[in-house]
This record gives sequence, structure tokens and C-alpha cells, in this order.
Amino acid sequence: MNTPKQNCLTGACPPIISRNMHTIKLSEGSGGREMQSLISEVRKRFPETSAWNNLRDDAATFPIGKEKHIVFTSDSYVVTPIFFPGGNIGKLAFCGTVNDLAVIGAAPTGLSFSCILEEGFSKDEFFEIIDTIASLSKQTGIPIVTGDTKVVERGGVGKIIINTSGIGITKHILSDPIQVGDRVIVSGGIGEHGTALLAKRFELESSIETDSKPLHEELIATGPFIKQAKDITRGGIAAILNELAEKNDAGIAVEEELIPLHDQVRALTEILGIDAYSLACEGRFVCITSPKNAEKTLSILRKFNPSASDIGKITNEKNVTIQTRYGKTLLAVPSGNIVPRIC
Amino acid sequence: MCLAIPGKIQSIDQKQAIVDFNGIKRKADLSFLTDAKVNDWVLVHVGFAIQKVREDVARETYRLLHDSRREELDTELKRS
Amino acid sequence: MNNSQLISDIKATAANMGEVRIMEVCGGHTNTVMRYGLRNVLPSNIKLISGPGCPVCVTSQRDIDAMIEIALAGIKVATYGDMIQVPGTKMSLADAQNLGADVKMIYSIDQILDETDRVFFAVGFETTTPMTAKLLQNGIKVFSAHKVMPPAMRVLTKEMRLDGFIDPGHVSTIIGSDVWGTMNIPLPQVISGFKPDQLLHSILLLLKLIQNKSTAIINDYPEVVFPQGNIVAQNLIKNTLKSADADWRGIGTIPLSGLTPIDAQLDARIVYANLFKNIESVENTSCRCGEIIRGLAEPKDCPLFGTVCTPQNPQGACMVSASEGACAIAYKYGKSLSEL
Repeated sequence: MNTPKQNCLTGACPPIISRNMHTIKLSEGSGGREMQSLISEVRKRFPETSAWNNLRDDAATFPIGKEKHIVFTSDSYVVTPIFFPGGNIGKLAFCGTVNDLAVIGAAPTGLSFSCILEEGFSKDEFFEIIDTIASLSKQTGIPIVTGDTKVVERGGVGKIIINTSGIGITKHILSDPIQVGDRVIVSGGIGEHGTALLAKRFELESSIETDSKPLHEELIATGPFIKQAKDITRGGIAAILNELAEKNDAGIAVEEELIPLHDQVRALTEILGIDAYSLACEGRFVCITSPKNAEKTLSILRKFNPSASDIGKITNEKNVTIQTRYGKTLLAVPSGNIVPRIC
Repeated sequence: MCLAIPGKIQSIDQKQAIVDFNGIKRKADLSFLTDAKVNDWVLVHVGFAIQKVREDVARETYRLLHDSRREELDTELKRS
Repeated sequence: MNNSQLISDIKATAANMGEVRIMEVCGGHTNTVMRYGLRNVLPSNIKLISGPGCPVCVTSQRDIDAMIEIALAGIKVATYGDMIQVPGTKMSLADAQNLGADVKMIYSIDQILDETDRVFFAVGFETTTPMTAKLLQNGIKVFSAHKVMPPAMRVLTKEMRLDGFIDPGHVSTIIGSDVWGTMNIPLPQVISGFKPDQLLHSILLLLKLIQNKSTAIINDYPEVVFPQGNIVAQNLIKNTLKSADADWRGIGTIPLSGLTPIDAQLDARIVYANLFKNIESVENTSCRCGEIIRGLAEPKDCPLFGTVCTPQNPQGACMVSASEGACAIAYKYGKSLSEL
């Protein structure tokens, strides 16, 4: 495709915007169906390996001897704004990767930290992000053991992009088969991270802060009582429930009135006309337990967050449904960018 | 066309109000509701107050949302 | 009145009636119906049809194509969030943005009140029109795809058998409840709010009107709908916008169903006419959206549904809006509307 600079000798030609349509779209990064599609496409092209397992999950595992597994995961963080109520991109980067290890059942042993910085980015802001990560590392005892920094010209990236990868060790991978009747539990109120970001973006004043936090303590504590877990991120609880259903070739039925939702999150979704179930979380997870372990799991989780709630069960339908006060409807995978409606 | 929700005016500065929607606040333009006063409940659509709301009804709207599961939910409803 | 009482009253009233066909014409009502699974609780002889109430869905393909040409020519544009992803013939405004165009997505026009170099793509029914009027008052150019619903309701009443309408509640906040009696829509109507209880209550009232063969119009949203509506808003609209014919995607031209700026210098359709006068907007002729939007066909009746036409690659208006488009909803939920 020709760019204006290539075509124009004087440099004064009007901008000609290329119409090449086979390009990456923003919606392929928002956590919904399009992103899953892109990820599938990419995965298909990489040669498979039998030595590693769980390649479709948040992390991959590699057996060491008969008893243990190494768990390995990687994630990149491109959120804007980079500072938001309750945190910054550094917090997301640390907690996100720790949580991807934790939901497989691993105790995180170390993280890498790599970043790409834009020329001109404020060093005060950069070191505030670094200090946030350092403080979390100290608090959790999970060290940053390796990493990289790169700088690109102004305009190359928006201030900063971070990648964190993590390694953990586990004896038991949280991947037990589920059964019809198993309970579905969420670890706390949903949509708070999304609310914090959207409130800032659309000039709404809210006291909601990001829910981003490390979850390894909750998951280690509930590990013996749960079968599977998945942390909720982009695409919200709707995306994660559909992923769990698809992964297990099962159905999930939840009850709307049991899903914990802060008043302000509800208010924001009404003002902007967006669906709370598609709103991003960062420090929440969904787990599946047998009915006899549900109470125990809940009591453990409620010590960390009193809003933890048993929201539904596994069914033999092949869909995810939500029972509202009036009728049952499907809780579908979010599609496209999540945007405010006028109507 | 339709997405408007009620909120309570917290303060007014000329034609701009700060409106509280159950904890979330945003500014709303009062150009179309020139006699609105602090503590009035107003209906807000895309950042503009378009009509006053009777306070008891606005609260009712929120109550409908916040009710925990009522016991009289018909089994008939659950079956559908 | 609690829910179960409301629903049993609806069932009791409907039990003595044959097939009843009522239509709602507001995207917000469509959304409430879908969100709460309300069709599940209505008796099977009550057909609740979702009409062309989604302003985003009924914006004509040519209007979108024209705005895209304006944006790709390097002119800054803005529009509401749900309009950004609606596809024209070749692409959407979101695609144009990906290609480098300056397309600002806003929640409120208060985010662009000072930007006199930005062109606003104005979409919506009467609830949203006063805000566009304010932009025009500030000297900002507008490409207006605003529409008014009553002319479309008259067309629908002639085309198909309908027994009554649920009138849009927030539109009525602006225009008032009295004016509905002057619209020449010879059917009973109930102006309704948007909470599921409110909508069910309005449906109950409408059924009773139909049962009594009444052509009365009831305001069931008196909390915010007053007889005269919002006069200040109405006056600003009158002073800045005038009636014009409008193209409804999936329906065609409906005379005097649109609004356009009075001041030609602020009318982007005129100012930038050269940028789009030669474009060809091609609609897929197999697309049955026009019938679906009038409740004459179901998404599954359309040959393109789910195959060529998906939310990622919509061919028509009905697949466009995930929250209100009939086909998008059916695709997302995997069922036909009447099953949901």
C-alpha cells in the first residue's frame, strides 16, 4: 500500500488514507468473539507439541517427574489510561500473570517483566509503575527475576506496553472433570475494573476502583475444594462462563439476582447502556465446585471478599443462560467493542 | 432514543448540574430544564436533563432493580 | 402491582382474545424484552413485534457511506458509540478509524461543543434531536440522519395487521403525551417506560384497550411524560431543524420522516456533497431485513442469516445492533425471536 510520504515528492499532498481492509481491528483485542477467533488462527499455525499440556488455557504445563508440573504463562498489557482509579498498568501486569498461574493451581515462583517505552514518556510515571510492581512483589513474595526494556520513537507506542511472563510449580493442576449439578461460584463483585476505566473515559465521577489484585492466596486456600477456576478479564463474566462451558462441553445456568454487583457498577451500565456482564474485571475469578464443597469454598472466599457468591450450576444444555426475574435468557459471548448506546 | 435514567441534582453552576445516579455522578446540561433546582430528580439522556421526575417514582425505579429475590416469584415464572 | 399479579392479569385478559398483534417501536423497549426474556411470559396468542425502533439500525446505508467518505477525506467527524460499527457498503466508521480517519466516539455532545471543525453524524429519534439542535446552535455542522417515528407507524399500520402500539416513553418525554392523538394512527396506544414491570403493565393496559375495541391513547409513564412534553427542547428543534424525507434502511423512503438543518451552511449533506455524490451504495438484495424489521419475517427466514450475514459481517440493518437488531439478537442467542 502506498503511503502519502512515498507518493508525494513535495510532502505537501493531502493525506490519502489507505483502504486495505485485511488489517487487524480493535475489536480483535477486546476480549470477545473476534479476539478468540484471532487467537485460534494464530495457535493453528504454530506446531503442536505433546510435551506441554493445557495449551488452550490461561497457562501451559510441563510435567517434571511424576508428581509436579511447571506452569508457564505470558501476557501483554496495553490498557489506556495507564493510571486509573485504584491502580496502574503495572498492577494489572503483575496481578494478571500471577492470577493466570494461580487459576491452574500453581504457586507462582517468579515473573519476568519486559516493557516497551515511548520516547518522551515521563520518568516519574514510569518509576511510579515500577514501584507499584516492586511493592506487589514484596507484598506477595513473588520476585521479578528477569526482563527487558526497550525504547521506541515518539508515537511508536502509547507511553508504555508491558509484558509479564510467569512460572509456577504445582502438584495438582486444577483441571478436574465437572458434572451436572456442580456449583459455579464467583469470588466477588463484577465489572469494577471496567467501571473504573469507563467512568474516567466518559467523565463520570465514581468511587469505584479497579478490582485488580493477586488471587493466588484465595486459590491456594480453595484449591483442595474446587475443580476448575478461571479469572475474569476482558469480556467480563459473560465471556468467562462461555469459555468454561465450551471447554467442558457443558452448560451453565446462573441466576441474575445472585450475581454480586455494586450499585455504582449497575448505575454506570444504565447510564451508558452497556451490559454489566461484559464489563472487565481484573481481580475476580469463577470456580466450579461439587455441591458438597460449595459452602466450604464460599466461606473461605468470603474471608477475602464478602461479596463472593454461589451464582448457579452446571447443566447438560449446551449454552449459558441467565434467569432474570421474568424469564430465562441466554448470556451470550460479548461481540465487538463494548460501546455506550443512545437507545 | 430511549436510554435515559433518573438522577438527583447535587449542585448547579449556571446551566450545568452535577447529577448523582445512585453513587455515580456526572455533569448534565440543564439547557432544556431551566427551572430545575438542587435536589430535584431529573431524567438524563446523553448528558442532558430532559425532564423532571417525581421523586417517589424515581426511587421506585431503583427499588425495582435492587430488590433481592422476592418470595412470590411464581414457579410458573421459573419454568419459562 | 407485583410481577406475578401482572403476569396472571395479562394471561387472564389474553385468554378471551384471539391472536393479538402489538408492536413496540423503540430500541429501548426491544432491549427490555430481550434482556428479561419477556416473550417467555406472554401467552402464545399475544404477538409482540419489535418494529423499526433502533435508530442506528434504520440509518440508511448511503448515509453511512457518505459519512465515511467525509471521514476518509480527512475531515474530523464524531458520532455516538453504537453508530461506529454499523457497516456501510464497504466498511463502517470504525473501519475508517482503523484506516486513519479521525472518528470520535462520544457519549454526549458536551464532549464536542467547542469543536467547530468537527462534523457530527446525528442519529436518533426525538429524544436525541434536541442535543443535535444545540450543536447547530453552536455553529457545528451536522449530517442529520434524525428521524421521527409517527410517519413510519402510519406506514406500518397500512402494511400489516396490527392491533395496537406501545409508544416510546422517552420520545414522549420530549414531544408530550397530547400530541400522539394528532398523529392519525388509528390504533390504541400506550406510552410505556423501560423497566420490565413498566412494560408488562403497559402491555396489560393495551390488551384491555384492544379487548374493548378502543382507539384511546394512555400515558402509562406519567412520571416523566407530561401532556405538553418539553417545550424548550421542542422550540430549539423547531428553530434549527426542518422536516425532510428520510431513507429508512430496510424500509425505503418515508416522506417527512426525517429532520435536516435549516441553515444550509451547517448541513453537512450540502457542504460536503461533492465528496459523496458519486458513491454507489449497494444493498444485498437477498437481505430480508425490511420484512423482519416490520415483523413480517423472522431472521431464520432470510437466506443470508448466519451464513453470509453475521454480526462480524452484517449485510443489513437487522444484524447491526447487538442489543436491538432482530437478527443480531437471534444470532447471538441462537434462537428465533419468538422462541426467546
